[in-house]
Amino acid sequence: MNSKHLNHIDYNQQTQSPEQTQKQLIRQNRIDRNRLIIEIIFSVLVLLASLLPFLNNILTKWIDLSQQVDNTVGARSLDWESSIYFLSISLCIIILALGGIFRANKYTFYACLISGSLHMWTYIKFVFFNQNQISEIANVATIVLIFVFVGLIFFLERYYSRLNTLNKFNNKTLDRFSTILFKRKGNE
Amino acid sequence: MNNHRKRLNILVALSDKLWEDYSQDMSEEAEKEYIRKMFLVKREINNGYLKTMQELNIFGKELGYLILENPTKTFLGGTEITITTNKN
Repeated sequence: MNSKHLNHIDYNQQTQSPEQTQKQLIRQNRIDRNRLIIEIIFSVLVLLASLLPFLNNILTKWIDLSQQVDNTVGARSLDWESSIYFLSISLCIIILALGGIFRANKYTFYACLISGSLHMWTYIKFVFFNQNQISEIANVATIVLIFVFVGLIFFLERYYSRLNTLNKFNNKTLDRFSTILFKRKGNE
Repeated sequence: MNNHRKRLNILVALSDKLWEDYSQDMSEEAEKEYIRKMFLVKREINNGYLKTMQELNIFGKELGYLILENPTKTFLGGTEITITTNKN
């Protein structure tokens, strides 16, 4: 009974031959590298996704997109600019979901946050206001508001990650203390 | 990285190092030592009395550890922190 307990506790003390350790290190390196590659690829994709809502505006600078798409059902008329816009919005959402699943760098999501807010602001202007009637002050105030919003999100995220660190620390400490307690009980 | 978060991460790394040193020894004295030091580290983490890096370095030295920052940047942000034992 006693030795069984000690065996259970001594998992940290397992001695390994140097070759074994070497092998483990190599495997660990490979795992780290593959993980890093996946994370970097998806971070870049998320960064590109922040440009997607404005893709039609960007493309019209170089290419003429005013030709009609000959669709037979649905909208009465559809040009390439609108169709690129419709496609890019759904692609943007798909990439954001993938970035969330594969742990893209969290700072790349701020680019999406900013671009999404700007996009929404342009569309609010487009739908509810006449473009000419909105003053410069309102424009500047909105951009300031967007940055305040992003800043608040940033602080909330920092607070959340701090709570996460504390939670992990408390769990680990509890684990370790209970290991000591079990060892003491085994010695008695 | 923010200074406050950096100090928190260093303290958590210090607690990991304490456990590592204890599990290499596993004797009665090491256990006492671990619990005593861990109590201090836990108090600092929960109360946040250490306001500067200077104070943190002094606190580490009192426990017998030297805090060294490794300037290698990791992808997910932040510097890696290494803690070495100060054999006094």
